[in-house]
Amino acid sequence: MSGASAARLVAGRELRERGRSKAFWIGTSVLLLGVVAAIVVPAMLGHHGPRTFQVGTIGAAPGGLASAVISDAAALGGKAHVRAIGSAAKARSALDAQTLDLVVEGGTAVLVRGQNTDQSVTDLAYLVARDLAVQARLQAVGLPAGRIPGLVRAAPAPVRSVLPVSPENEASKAIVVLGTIILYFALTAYGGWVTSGVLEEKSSRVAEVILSAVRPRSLLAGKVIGIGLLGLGQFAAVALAGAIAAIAVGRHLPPSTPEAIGLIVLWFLLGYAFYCSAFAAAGAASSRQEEAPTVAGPLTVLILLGYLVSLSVLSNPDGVLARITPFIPPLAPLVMPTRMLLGHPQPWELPASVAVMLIATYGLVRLAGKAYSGNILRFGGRVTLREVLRP
Amino acid sequence: MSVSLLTEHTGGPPPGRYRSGPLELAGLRRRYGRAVALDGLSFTIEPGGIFGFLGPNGAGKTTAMRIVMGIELPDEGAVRWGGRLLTHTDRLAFGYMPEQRGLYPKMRVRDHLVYLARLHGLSTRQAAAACDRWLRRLGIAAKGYERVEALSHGNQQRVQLAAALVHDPQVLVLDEPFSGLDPLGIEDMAGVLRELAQAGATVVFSSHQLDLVEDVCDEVAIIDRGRVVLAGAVRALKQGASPRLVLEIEGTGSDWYAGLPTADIESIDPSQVRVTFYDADPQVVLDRARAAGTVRRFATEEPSLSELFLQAVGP
Repeated sequence: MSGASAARLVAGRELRERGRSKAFWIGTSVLLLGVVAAIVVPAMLGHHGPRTFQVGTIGAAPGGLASAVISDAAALGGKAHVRAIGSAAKARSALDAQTLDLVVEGGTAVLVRGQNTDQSVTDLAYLVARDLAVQARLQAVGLPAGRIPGLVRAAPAPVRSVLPVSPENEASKAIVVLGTIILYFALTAYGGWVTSGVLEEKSSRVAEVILSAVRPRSLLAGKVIGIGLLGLGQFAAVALAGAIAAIAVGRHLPPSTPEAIGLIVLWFLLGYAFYCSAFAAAGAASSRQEEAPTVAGPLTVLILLGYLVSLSVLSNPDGVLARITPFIPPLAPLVMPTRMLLGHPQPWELPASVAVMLIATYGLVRLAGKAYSGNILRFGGRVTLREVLRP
Repeated sequence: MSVSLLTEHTGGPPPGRYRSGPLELAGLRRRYGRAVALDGLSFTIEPGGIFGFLGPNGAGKTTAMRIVMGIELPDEGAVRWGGRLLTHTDRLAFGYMPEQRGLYPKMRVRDHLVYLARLHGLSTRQAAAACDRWLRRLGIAAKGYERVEALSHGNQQRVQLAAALVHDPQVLVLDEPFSGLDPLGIEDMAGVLRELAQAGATVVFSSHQLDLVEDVCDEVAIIDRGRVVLAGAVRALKQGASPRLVLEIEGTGSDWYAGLPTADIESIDPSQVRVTFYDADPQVVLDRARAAGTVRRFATEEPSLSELFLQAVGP
């Protein structure tokens, strides 16, 4: 029997046995629920459409304040609801409870909550504060009170974005964030499966029976392919559930959604291919289940590091980190989807980083494969890194 | 009116399958650091018999078997089968039971055995049929849908044996198959091996309990420190060795056997002793004993394998 058909049988067993296990179905359900919740819950809580700012006034409001606030809010793409509040204490508690967004105090000061204040509320507060100052100035130079509101109400000059914020790219940002989180969990979880699966074969000593019929590389390949396919299946289920949930709650799916999913799947495959053999080697180098997380520890730390870098790339998708880390193979899988979807990569960046990834994967698979074969039938005592790397 | 069709094969090895050549271990050497596990080990196993690969713990038996199964590589030497170097594909026709038993604890017995048979190249249908046949033969047909970990120790041992047999191997390699078995289990195991050998399979097993298994083996190779010290058909080895004389006599005087090569003297009760001789002329022993007292028992016995082993490895 060829190595490929042996690997196919091994992969088939992984799929069947894991697909049948309760742990797998519980894990998948939790993941699906998590993703659906991440989409549905904010939609149910969040505001939709143009925002209405709740504005309170205390004391004597200058004439025309309400119309000035409304035109400021309109400049920010929202509406305003202005009402008088009886006392300063009431106003404070309303701000604290977030039933009011800002309070104009006697025509001289603007109060906001401070903590957790929305950027748009802060923007409105500055515009209103500016209006109050201008109004006071106009009054001081002796302009008749009747003319002031008309002057102040004038809409601010428009501010235009070079890269406009649209519901479209807001949605693709959300997809990237969610996708990267799933990617992070997937690499860590499936890596863990590989480690514990290899160790199960080693510690139950079934490896010796299997390896009397199958070459170590076929056993290794079958195992990681089986787990990888199961992972892809989970991924597909999550993407489908996420898309259905998004459509159900009336979220706008940008036209780039298939591209985003495609990129995340591509980098899942590349990342999994890169890490899986190392996770297998970690399993083979352990001799007890308790030991495995320690041996596989450096790998999970690298994946976590990639995730942390991706957060920084998210806020600056064309920065130095975003341009360099796609060429560092352990980090690339978690960074590259963000860079590709939110940044402005050169056309060569994707093929080049995939090529670097593939070369590194080839090297690592050879090294880790050797370590795996050398250790899978070795018992007693922890195998040192030097022994693992020994030719 | 009842008609019984007894053409269906219900258990055990399939007839007419086995036609393999001899399995030959030639000059195997293997070291682990400074420790020498195999030191030029050579012997040949013919099909159709049960071959015992015997020796004390640490003699190199497991290393040799792992090399035969391709799990370890020798530093020097080769394994040939039917005159050709043994290949990976050849080994799919081998069945192996390692000394450290192991199965997937969570798998169901039948799934497990079918999986192993498939790994050895059987189709799903063949694998299922062979699996059922061996489960019946080993008396665990009812356990097919249980998880391995849920079985009793004895039944796990049976499944482990089935795992080595399920693809109907031409060559069966068992490392310490009798260790941990009760006398009934030993009897069962020996019966299965006997059937396979009679059907024409090549059966080799290792054991450190020489006397426990000497009745099971047709041929043996006994090794010590990585090399063969004694090999051949058990019967020929025993007949070739000088028989052991056992004599029980009333009277405790010791003058009469002075000068004869005694191996063992033991008192049975205050008035009787049992004296065992090697390499002694039975006529001389009997004449002297009769002159000295009343002979209660006089017998020539074949030496046990462990006695032969001890004689072979020196004083």
